[in-house]
Amino acid sequence: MRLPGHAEATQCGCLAGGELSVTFTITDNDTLGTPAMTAMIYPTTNPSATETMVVARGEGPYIFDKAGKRYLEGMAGLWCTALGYGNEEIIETATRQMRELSFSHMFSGKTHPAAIELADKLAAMVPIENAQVFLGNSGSDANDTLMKLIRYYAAASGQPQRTKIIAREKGLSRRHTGVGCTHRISPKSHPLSIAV
Amino acid sequence: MPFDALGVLRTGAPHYYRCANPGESEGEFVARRADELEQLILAEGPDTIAAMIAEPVNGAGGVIVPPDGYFESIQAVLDRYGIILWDDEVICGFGRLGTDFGATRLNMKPKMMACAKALSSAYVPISAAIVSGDIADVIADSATQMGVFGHGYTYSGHPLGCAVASKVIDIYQRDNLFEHAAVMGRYLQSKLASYIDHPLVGEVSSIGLLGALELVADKATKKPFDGMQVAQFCAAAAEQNGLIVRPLGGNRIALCPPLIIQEQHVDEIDQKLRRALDSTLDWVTHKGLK
Repeated sequence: MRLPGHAEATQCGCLAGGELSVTFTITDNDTLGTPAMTAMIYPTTNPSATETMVVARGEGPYIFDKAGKRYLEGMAGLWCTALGYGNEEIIETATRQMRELSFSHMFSGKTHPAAIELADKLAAMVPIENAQVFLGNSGSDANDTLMKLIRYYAAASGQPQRTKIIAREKGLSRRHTGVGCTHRISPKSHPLSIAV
Repeated sequence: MPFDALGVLRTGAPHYYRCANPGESEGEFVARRADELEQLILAEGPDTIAAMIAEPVNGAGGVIVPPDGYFESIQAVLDRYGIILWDDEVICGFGRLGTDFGATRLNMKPKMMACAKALSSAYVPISAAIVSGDIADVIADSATQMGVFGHGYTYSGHPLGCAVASKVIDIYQRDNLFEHAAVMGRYLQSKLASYIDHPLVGEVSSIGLLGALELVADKATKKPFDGMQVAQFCAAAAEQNGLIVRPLGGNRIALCPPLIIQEQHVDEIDQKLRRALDSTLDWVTHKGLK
């Protein structure tokens, strides 16, 4: 059963009977203004489970829940917040960029200074010779892009049959399966012909 | 669509603790993994295989640090058959292993690389798919005949992501954060090393600022716990102590703190994680799981 409002883990320990004792306290939705949480489908979460923590803010390597309790972020979020939270230099950079140019796409040869600068920086630092960079939104789509490039490259190099990929046991099968499922690209053609 | 039709082949994980045969040394294990890879390639037909994808250190699969020499041995096999090493640097890229990229630390020679996460330090979403110049040239040379590379996202190269990632890279380089991560990583490892003496811990796995503990029912036989409940209990206990860790499959507890942490934060991780492990041991004992 799904519960309304937010549920926060307030206690966790070992009861005398040995039961897993994680106590959830249901609080109201006032801080969000709407009962939005119950309308959420969460990623990588049991769909019948309820919310366990409302993260309210971050500072350096710490996050704070809605009740103000502080946690050291020992997982950098999802392996990602390398510089921690609330870095003013980054906030200032983002604000300036949005003021200057809030959107520009990259199709058909259009580009912009921030993208060129980033691609040059990346190409100079990666351990790959004469690197060329395609930009996307998330690690999963970067891998999807590489899968498409591999197939395009196979066709372009006269080896259209060369499309199999070796992965490893315990690898990110979810992501790899996604890579394979979402891109059934004709090896002789290019992905423009595929309606995705 | 059946899984086989995806054209995804599987070879063994570089997980010595779980996958080594009895009495097999790390060197022998690595040689066996390389040989298994070669047999797979020969059985499938080398000219049907484009690439092998690998994270330098497998992250969500358990923080599996490969034994010394693993990627050198794998690379030699791939090179023999013209198979590209496709390096997934989404977690290891930008200092996580104490070097710019995981490939640098583990002597990988990739021709393709996927980056995200620390690329922008997660301030905004952005990723980069990177290929070597010789691959890009072949694609460009064929474009007249094959047509446009018809792939792209509305937000490919979004100015906000580009500006932020560019600034983040500047900060990494200006503040020597990859070296800082190496120093903090060694300090974290000095703390984690003693966890192998804890009654629940079967394996301590760590490199740079990335680590994992595997919780086992019997250390001598490496008997695993069923399901994930022991790791989940431990993570919940850590959370109650004010520390976020992540339970992974195989009852492994992952650690991956921000690169900016200092010694006092490592001490805080150590104290809170140790208490969580002790609570978990009490619970496991009460439940009769051990």
